[in-house]
Amino acid sequence: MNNNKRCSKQSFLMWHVFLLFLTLGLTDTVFAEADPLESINRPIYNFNDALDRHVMQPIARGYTKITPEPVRDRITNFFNNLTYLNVILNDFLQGKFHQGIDDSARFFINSTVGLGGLFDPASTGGLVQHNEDFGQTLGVWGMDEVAYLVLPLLGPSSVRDVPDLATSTALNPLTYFTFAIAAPISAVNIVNSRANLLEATEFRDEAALDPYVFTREAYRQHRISLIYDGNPPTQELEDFFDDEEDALEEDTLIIE
Amino acid sequence: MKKLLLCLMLIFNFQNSIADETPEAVVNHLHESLIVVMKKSGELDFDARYRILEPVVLESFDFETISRLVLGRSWKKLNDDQKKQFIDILSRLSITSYVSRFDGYSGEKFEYLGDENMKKGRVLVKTQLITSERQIPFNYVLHPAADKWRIINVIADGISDLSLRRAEYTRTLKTDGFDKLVEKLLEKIKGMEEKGPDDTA
Repeated sequence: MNNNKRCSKQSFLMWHVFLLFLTLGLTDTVFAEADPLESINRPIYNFNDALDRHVMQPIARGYTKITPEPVRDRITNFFNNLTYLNVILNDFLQGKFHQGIDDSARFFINSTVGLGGLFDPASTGGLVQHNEDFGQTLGVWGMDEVAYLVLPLLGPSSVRDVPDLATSTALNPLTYFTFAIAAPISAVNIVNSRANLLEATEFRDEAALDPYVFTREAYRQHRISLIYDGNPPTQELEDFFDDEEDALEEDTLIIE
Repeated sequence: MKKLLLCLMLIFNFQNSIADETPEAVVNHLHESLIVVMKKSGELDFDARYRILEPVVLESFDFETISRLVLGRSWKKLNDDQKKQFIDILSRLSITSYVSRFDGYSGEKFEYLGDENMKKGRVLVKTQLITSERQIPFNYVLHPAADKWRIINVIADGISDLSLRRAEYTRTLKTDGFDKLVEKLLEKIKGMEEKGPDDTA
């Protein structure tokens, strides 16, 4: 049963990636708002959104009602710690050796003294949490997003961020437990992660005119911010004005 | 003669005070007002808080420039009435968003981190919002408008408000037209007004 499910999920993903490469040759992704796969992404977004509204959100709301915040914080810490081997790998791949050593120490301390990551004594001791993944590494190496993707069940992503699915899965200790152990723990992770996003999606529902476009742009900018560790060069902001000013000047020329 | 001198002095002083107000001061003033409104959210209703923030937001932001940047190429295709209408709605949407989002106080504070010069005289003011859980970067792009420094972009937690709005609004404008865009924006304003302060906790 599980195998079947995994297989169909994988083949769906493969199909997606296949279609992507099919379209890549035909489309031009130079300008900022390009979304060459929108016609495939949108239906998947709508499917994810329906599933989210009817199943995941009610569960996540129920979960936040019955679980006190300190407990949810412990659970979030635990799952953050499980992803940390992937963070460490990508620290080193991005040439951040000092951060890689700090993060290794952080992982060791929180896994032992922090009782398997439930507690975060490392942060108290000055070893703060970092956010790195293979998609960010590819960004640091100079790859652009190529194309925005919406993955079934997983949500917003991009061609640049897909390979991280492999490294983060391979480096998550949970992957190597039997299904009977891993499945219920993963279920808690999914519900807890969704609960942590409730505020963000409420913000989206309140502000978005077109939730698909809103999510896409927010995802893109969030990823750029992460690639630059929260400090993108001001050039990233200048590009926006340059585009606009060029456009306005062009228009003026056409009108005059 | 004395009167004239007094007038000149007043004008000179007035201009001086504009030039003296740094980009940092504009952002700080906005932040102080936000904190005041957050602290009073228990006792003041939505309208009262709106009235406090309205003048502050209107003098801190350059909504005409923001509107032009948000709509990009489509801006020139609007007639003067439509432009006025859009600027007005965008201002109201911004004030309403502030009132609706900054609606409770639990010890948050803003901290100024530094300035960075950008092209064409623009300045990036870096700040962060410190909450009990984490620090959220709030960066502002200001430009020297005719009368004073004014905000033209807010980058909250790495997400640029201008880019987000441009992507959404130009799309809606292209597929549904100007009237529909206005209608949708008015719906958003109404939705936030109706939510009220009590439903958000």
